[in-house]
Amino acid sequence: MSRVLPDFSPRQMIKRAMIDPDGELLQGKEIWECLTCGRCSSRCPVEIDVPEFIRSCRLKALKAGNLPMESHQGIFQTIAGLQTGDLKQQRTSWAEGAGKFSNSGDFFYFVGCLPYFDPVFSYLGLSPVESARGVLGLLNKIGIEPVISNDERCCGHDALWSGNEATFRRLAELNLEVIRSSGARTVVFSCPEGYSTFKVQYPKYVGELPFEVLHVTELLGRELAGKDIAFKPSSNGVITYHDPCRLGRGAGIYDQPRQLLGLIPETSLVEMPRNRENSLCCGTSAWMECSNCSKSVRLDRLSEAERTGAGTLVTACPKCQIHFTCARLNSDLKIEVKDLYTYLLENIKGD
Amino acid sequence: MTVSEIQGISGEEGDFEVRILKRPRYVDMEKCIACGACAEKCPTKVSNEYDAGLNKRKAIYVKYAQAVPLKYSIDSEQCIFLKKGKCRACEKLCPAGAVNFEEKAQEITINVGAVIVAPGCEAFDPATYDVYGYGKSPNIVTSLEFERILAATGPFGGHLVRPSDHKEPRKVAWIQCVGSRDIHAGSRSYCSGVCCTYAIKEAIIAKEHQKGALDTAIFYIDLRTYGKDFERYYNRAVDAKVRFIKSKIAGITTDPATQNQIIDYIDESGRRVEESFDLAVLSVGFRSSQEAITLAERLGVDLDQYGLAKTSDFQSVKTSKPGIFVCGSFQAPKDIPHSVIEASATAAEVESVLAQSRGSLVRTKEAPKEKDVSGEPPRIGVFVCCCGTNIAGFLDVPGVVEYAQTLPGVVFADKNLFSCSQDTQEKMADIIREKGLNRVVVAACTPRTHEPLFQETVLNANINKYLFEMANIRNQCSWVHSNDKDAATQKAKDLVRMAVSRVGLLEPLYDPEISMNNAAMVIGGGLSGIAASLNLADQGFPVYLVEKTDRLGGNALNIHKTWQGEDVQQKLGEMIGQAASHKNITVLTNSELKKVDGFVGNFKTTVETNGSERAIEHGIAIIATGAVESKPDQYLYGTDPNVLTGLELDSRFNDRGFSAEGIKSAVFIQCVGSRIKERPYCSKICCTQSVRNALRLKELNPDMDVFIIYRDMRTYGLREELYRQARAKGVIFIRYDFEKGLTVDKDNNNIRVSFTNYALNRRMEIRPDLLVLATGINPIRENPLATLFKVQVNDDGFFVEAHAKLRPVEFATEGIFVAGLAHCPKPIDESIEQAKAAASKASALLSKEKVTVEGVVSRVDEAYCVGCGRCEQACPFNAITLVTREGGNKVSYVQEALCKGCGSCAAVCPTGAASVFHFDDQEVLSMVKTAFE
Repeated sequence: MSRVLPDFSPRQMIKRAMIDPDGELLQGKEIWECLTCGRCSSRCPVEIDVPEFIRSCRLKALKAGNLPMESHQGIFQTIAGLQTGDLKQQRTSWAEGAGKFSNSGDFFYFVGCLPYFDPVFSYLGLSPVESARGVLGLLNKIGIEPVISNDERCCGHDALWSGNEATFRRLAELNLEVIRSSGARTVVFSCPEGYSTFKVQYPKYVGELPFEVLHVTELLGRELAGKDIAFKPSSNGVITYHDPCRLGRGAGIYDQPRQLLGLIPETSLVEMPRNRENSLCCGTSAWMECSNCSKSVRLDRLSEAERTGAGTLVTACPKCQIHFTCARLNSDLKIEVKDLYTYLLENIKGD
Repeated sequence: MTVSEIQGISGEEGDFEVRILKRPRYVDMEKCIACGACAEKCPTKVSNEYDAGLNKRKAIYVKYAQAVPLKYSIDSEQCIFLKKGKCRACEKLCPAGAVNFEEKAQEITINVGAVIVAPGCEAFDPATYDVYGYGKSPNIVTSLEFERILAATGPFGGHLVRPSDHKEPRKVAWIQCVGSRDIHAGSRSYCSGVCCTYAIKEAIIAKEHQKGALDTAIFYIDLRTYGKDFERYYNRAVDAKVRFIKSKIAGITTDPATQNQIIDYIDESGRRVEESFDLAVLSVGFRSSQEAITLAERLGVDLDQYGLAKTSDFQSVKTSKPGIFVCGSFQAPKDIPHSVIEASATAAEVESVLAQSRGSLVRTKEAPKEKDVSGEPPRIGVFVCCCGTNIAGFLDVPGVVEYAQTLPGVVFADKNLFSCSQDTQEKMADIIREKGLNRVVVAACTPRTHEPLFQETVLNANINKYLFEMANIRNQCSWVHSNDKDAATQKAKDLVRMAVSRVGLLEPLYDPEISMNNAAMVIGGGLSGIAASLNLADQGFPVYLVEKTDRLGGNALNIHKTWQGEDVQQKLGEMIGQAASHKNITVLTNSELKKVDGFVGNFKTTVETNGSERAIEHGIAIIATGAVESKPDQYLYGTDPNVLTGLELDSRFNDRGFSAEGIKSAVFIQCVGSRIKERPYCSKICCTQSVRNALRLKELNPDMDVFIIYRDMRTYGLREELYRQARAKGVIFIRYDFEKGLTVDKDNNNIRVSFTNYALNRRMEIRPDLLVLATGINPIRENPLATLFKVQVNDDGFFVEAHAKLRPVEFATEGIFVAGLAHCPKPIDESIEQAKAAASKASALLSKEKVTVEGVVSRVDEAYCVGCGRCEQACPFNAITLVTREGGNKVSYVQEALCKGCGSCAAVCPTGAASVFHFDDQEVLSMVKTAFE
């Protein structure tokens, strides 16, 4: 961030807050420009949790009337807001024909925003809900017919990171209720944001969760081995993997996706120079303040991926996929951007 | 000058004196505010001619809601005061004091340089002809009456019902050619040119009204959907199950029990058939009105045998009298797009005649100096209009004023009796100055009609005109809630509160000026390109005429005669000569465009001539790149020397040595490569061309057997006369069954044409000595100009105009125009008209030194722009391009000169970088938020 915006400095922000905690920092743009990617914290010698610091600033800024620039005409903020109320959603129709699922059972697949992304990002030629179909297919392969629910709500990640704690709290309560009534003992996530929000944030606000929280790569890593599933050679040749902020630095999941990618024959996984804890963000968080700077971050990352010689960049986060796909528009970049789950399902033998 | 009539004319082109009789309107147009109080109280009800007599209007009236000027007038033949000397109700009631019974007719004389005659035509009255049974049942209506039945503002509120019992019809029939293509007394022998397409339109709309449950049938002679995209529309109707029945109508009778119409017709095989319909629509044609004929006589303009203005193909808008021009259906029957083109063509002629006096009557207005109010807190003034009693009679205006005074930022609020009257304007300007207002809200009527007026008032008080907002409490409150005063008042308060919240946020804007290079570039040196160039050059503008080949003339070089028999080579030769020697025209042959930069007023185009490039600066461009005759790959074309295309035959006629010797029989096959799946459009000119050439062959050898094998004969408009002549001269017309196919092969070295005769339903063979293929017109494939100028082509490959009916020569991008075959197939007269129309539209720009554009334009905040290009794709005016900034980032750039402020870019922008001045999110959302307070 500070490479693109020379005046942007987490250290300066913290200093300014120490001098005047409710002062001009809360009126400025920097607290919204921060990606809360946590890369600074991961190398901070005094272990300051910068994202958490920013989040607390945003909470106060919002109350003081300092608002961020919402992207996509604020549609996702509106959708999240609507979900705090009593509403009937059509959240499972994508799964018809894609795989087996049920209304109750041990496993709950928390799909997240994917069905809402589909109509908004059709202009990019993307159908993010395909990713959910991929996950459902993979879960079926390992013998799981998960619960998916029309009553699921937004996980609240974006509301929380935009300083909108009330919305976040309400969404969390509603989600717990839905999961509780399904009887699930394990909740599986493909979206890194949903996963880290449940794993890290929910306990802080609603106490210990009465179920296990697993990322689908963890579950697959655990279950795939014992199953009669083989992968076919992929035509993708050399690929590289992009660590999403919330999955990597946020929840410490680095190895599982790589292990899964390694299962596909005749494909080599190469690393970008900035990987794992040092991974770069996709340039925007919480559907706000998407800017020329975001674009620069994305182009930087995609060029880095291209320089590895890879023809495909695989990511485990739908937002990363959307943002990188957008950045490729009107550019000379050749590298393809793929979603981890559809990529895996595509390459299973026998399909 | 309304209710006025030409009495006579003297003088000559450039200096006419016209005597005009101005009849009394009895309503002062300056005072009338069109509130309608007079009509409400007028006791006289008369038949409403606008609704085709299907309902009533009053003696004081406006013809229809969109009338211009929107002012009442008194029908002197119906008003009981004017007839019997008693009443004057309207005069007493008028809140504006606009009614004036003292008005007298007066004769005035004006001096003009040229005259345009556009009296239009009237519809044929089917009552004169009893076959159609019109007048015997209310369920036999004319197509114009049916239009009113379908209209939301019509007598049945847009509900499709039949007049006799107001029940929804289940079956509706259209009878074509009522009063057209008919040589009976009272009818016209020409084709009215528009009825086939309007009948299809009415059938489709009627079906949509009835949600598809309606059975529709169109009884026709030939289906003539020859206009741009009309054939597609016809195909759509076929798909929508509109029935098309080729037939001859024997009579229509009414069943007295059901009030249904029994249509008695002869079908194509000669069978007599009867079918019952709930409603019959007579597709009536055009005829010139007696008033128009009288007008022409007074002006000394020659008429043809139909009572229409006589014109030639090369000068189709010039009447017989120099300086007097004609357009619209009084010239010949025609539809809206063609009428609009022709109207602009007459304007072009006038501009050329009066070129020397251009600008001589212009007065410039000194713009008042604006006060800088930036940084000042809003000091808002609210003026609430009573509109006489039009608003004040239905809502509590003092209550709204009182409420406005309590709103944040408002320092002044008061009511006006009539905000739009001259004295109130001055009073408002005084108050703005006196109270030091820097933002103004007028709560009155619609901004569509009154915003510019009030903006001027604000500007006269030295305040930027964009610091103004209107609340429409007339249309949206007093009109629609006229029976609920409390609700109307509450809503008016809401609207005022919203307007006040917005006006406080508004920023001053300045209308940017762009410079205008007054040179034109015309691309394409065919007839259209030459005609456009000559007109612009005669108007005094420098023209670059760019032609790809080594000579001017284009397709016209091969054409023998126009449909009226004018010698094309002679006229074309004259025009080429004029263009080549005109001091204002630079002809560039062997030249092609390589690159186009810039925008309206400031184009810079690179032209390559014989391998060397030069950059030309120009203000506008006219694209007249034409089209080509399609060359068939069937019917022995190219393998047998006696198989020719229509244009090739024309070209042979041009050779002086051509003789018809040895040709005993000739066949013309129509629609070769037109009206087929791959090219679903009609090429428009081929029917007329074949008929004319068939006549020519008959002229050369009266004993020759000449056959025209066709699907529908489309000799539209006055061209029908040629078709009649051809039949009289013995040319044989055979309609063939397109579905069953047509083949051409060789049998013993003879050409053999085989097909199924539609009427006989039998296979037939003809062995002609000469076979002429009426091949269609193909657009230039992948025309590079579409890319260079970033203008659109349609699915067929023809250029897409800004609006099919109302802007037929303009592109959506300002400063670029289209003419001739590049736009769609059309004959010589229409190509020249369109070329002149394009020249006229172009001259409106070229004659200015600077063009002022609206300040309400889009802007892109580059910091937020991710260069995704969505706005560039969404912009209908090509105002946005992606540019590369330092560091390699691409961002959107808005060319203000081209932006119309539509906001499409802001709607698609994913990041919020694009927004529209005067309508940014804050300005709009504050109104929304305030609405719910």
